Amino acid sequence: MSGVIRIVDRATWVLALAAGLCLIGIMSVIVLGVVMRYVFASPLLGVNEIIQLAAVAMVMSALPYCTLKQQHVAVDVFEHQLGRWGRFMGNLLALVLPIFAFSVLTQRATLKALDALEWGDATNMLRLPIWPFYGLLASGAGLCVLVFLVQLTTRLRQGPTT
Amino acid sequence: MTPLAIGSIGIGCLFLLLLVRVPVAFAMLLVGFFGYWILNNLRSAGGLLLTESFSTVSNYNLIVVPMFVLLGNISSAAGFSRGLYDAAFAWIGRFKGGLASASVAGCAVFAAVSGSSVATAVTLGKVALPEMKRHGYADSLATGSIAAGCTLGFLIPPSTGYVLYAILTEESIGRLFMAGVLPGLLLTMLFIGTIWIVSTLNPSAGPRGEVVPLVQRFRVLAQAAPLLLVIVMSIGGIYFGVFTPVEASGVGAAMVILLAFAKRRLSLAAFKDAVLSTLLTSAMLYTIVMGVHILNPFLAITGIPAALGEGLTGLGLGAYGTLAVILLAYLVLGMFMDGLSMLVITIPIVFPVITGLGFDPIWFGVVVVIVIEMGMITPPVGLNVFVVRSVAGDVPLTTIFRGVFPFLLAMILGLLLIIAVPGIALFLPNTMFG
Repeated sequence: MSGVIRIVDRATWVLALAAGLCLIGIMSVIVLGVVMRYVFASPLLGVNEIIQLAAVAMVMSALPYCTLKQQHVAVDVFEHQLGRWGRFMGNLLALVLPIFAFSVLTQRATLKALDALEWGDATNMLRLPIWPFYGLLASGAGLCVLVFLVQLTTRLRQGPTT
Repeated sequence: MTPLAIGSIGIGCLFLLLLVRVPVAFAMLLVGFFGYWILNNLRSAGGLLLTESFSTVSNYNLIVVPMFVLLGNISSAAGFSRGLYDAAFAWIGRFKGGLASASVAGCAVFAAVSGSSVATAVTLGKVALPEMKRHGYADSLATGSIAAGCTLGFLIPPSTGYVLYAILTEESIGRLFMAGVLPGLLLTMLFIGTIWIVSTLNPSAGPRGEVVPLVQRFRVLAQAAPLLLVIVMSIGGIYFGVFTPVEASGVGAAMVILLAFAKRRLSLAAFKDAVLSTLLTSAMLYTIVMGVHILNPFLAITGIPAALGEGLTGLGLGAYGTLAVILLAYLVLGMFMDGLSMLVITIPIVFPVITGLGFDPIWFGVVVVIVIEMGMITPPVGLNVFVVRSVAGDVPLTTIFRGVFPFLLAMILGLLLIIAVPGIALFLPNTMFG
């Protein structure tokens, strides 16, 4: 089990680094677009498409890291009123239901990526292939499922805590 | 079972999931997904999940969020807030309650590089609270001014609140940013006025700071000038149509990074931390938008927003009466939920009602952000108060809530003014691009 946890941790960390590069890359492309338009009077065509696709890569690479670090906002005003069993059941629900939904998303995104590859789907202006980005959506969602599974296993082992 | 009944059960399930601490993003995503499945089938629900997820993460306008969050994080890491506070103190510190006023002014300016009130509270609180303690300020005024001042972080553009509102309602981000400028300045002035009144009634609560010579004042202002220039370029660039909001955010972030490295105020380790923190916030916000985009189609086919609109107009309260009921509901919700969650959950339901009553959607964006920010400083939740408490250390929560109360009255006054004179919010967006 610890081996699986280590692999999931490493994978989310590597993807987070990739997301960081995407973030800096997006910022650089935006600046480049502005400089080309105002300084060289030569606007870059298709900047929007590059930014949109890089955003897919950035968000889906950062999402497993965010999930691992449990950074999603929750309403915890009634935490004490729930009691230890209420909190335990809430925690399980917060993991089991997203596992199902994100599994469906992973499956659908994988099928869509294969479909887009087969039909050669591409962006309008730059003709960039879309399938790798559906692939990133699938891999990001899939890694989130693994993170949820690891967290679920840990919760079940711990049981209700005070 | 009718779609409306299924929708009502869905709303009930949403609040139940929130109650048991299921993250807001997942609660909305799950209710939308399972609700759509029940009303249609698994294939349609899976299709909805895929298309809405992809369209959210590839949304061009949403890139404003990570860029402005990065800008704010780098500014915090590089300690630029210290320069802003010093400049504000040099100019207004000598007046009654001057340090508290300088804190509010610092919050207002820092808000223009940070889209978050929490980030503003942490950053300015660390700088201003020790100074006010050193000058013998009352804990209630010191902490209250920071807790209230940092609400400007959500109101003065760029603000994540405006971006999410714009994405949810398909309004212009640039127009919303501009709409927030004058109300932000109005509230800043009202807060400073409140400090002056409190310090006049109780001079020991907010003594005057030392007088700074004129030459020194300009010197300190010059030190803060580069960051002020970034703010002027970003916001001014949007106003004059030089930049789109996305371009303003990207250029602003790049300028602050260059500035921080050029001034040797940012180590590589601090830069990495700022980037990782930006990614965490951005992924969290994108997931919330994803969730609400999956919840919306479910709500639409159940007819819940339309039924709510009919119900509210059926009460015969008139447009402003209905608006008052909605704002009151926001104030009550704000006591238990954090602002962002409240915004994304309620806007899909409330927005059609508001536009149906003939209110301007941009103006309502400003109004709703102010009401949400009031929730951030009211008990029992008052997130900003908790943040200030964590920075202040030994000040009891009751003291901070007591200190916040006069500012809450100022916010109510500001809100009433903006409702009575919508032009305060709409003047700048209506004059955009000349």
